[in-house]
Amino acid sequence: MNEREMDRVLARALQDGLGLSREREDALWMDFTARAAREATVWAAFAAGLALASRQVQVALRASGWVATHNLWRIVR
Amino acid sequence: MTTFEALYRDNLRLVYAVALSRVREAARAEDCAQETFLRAWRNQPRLRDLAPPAQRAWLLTTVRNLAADFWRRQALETDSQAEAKAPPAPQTELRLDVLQALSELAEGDRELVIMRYLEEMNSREIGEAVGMPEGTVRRRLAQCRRVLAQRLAQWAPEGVES
Repeated sequence: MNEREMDRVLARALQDGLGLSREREDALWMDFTARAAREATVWAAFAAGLALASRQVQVALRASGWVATHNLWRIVR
Repeated sequence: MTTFEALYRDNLRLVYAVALSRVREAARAEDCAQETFLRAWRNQPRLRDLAPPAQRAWLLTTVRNLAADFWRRQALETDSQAEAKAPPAPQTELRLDVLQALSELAEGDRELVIMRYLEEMNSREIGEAVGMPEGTVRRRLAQCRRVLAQRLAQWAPEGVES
């Protein structure tokens, strides 16, 4: 077998053995977009929860007068 | 088509083939490939600034790490529950032969072969993707071709003699 024929055999064997069909590629892309969307939703919910918690902490601190005291301390210092 | 979809579609076959050559089962290779692209998706701001060969190199490093993680987890599970191992998915005779033949090559060489014959990349492109001089890629591919040709000779077209 010469080099060019060998290349053809190897290319065919690898395409058949390791390749993905166009349909499978499309199905994997759809699956990927679903996974990415799920992940984005989870992160958005996490970020929203974090922002809410942060606001609640600020409100609680203001209510306790801590923020005013802290700001006064910074001015004095 | 979005930029990320282009990145996905341009590299999916290569990433999947590298995963398959390492984890040796189609479903697991697909999982590895999907996880690789999810990591790329999370790192979009960084990847966007890279040239396509560097993006490809990033994807290859990630899929190699994921395949290594798979074998580490597999080793732990095998130790604790050897009998619960799932049977491998049915695969074609040729696929098994190709995987067997590839497994006889060094891991780095397998990827060179996949890039050359599956992705039809030339030696310069392969060198850029794996950080290797073009001449070294050519020499190693010639060695791989000799090994694989012996193993896959039965799949030669009729009338072609070894």
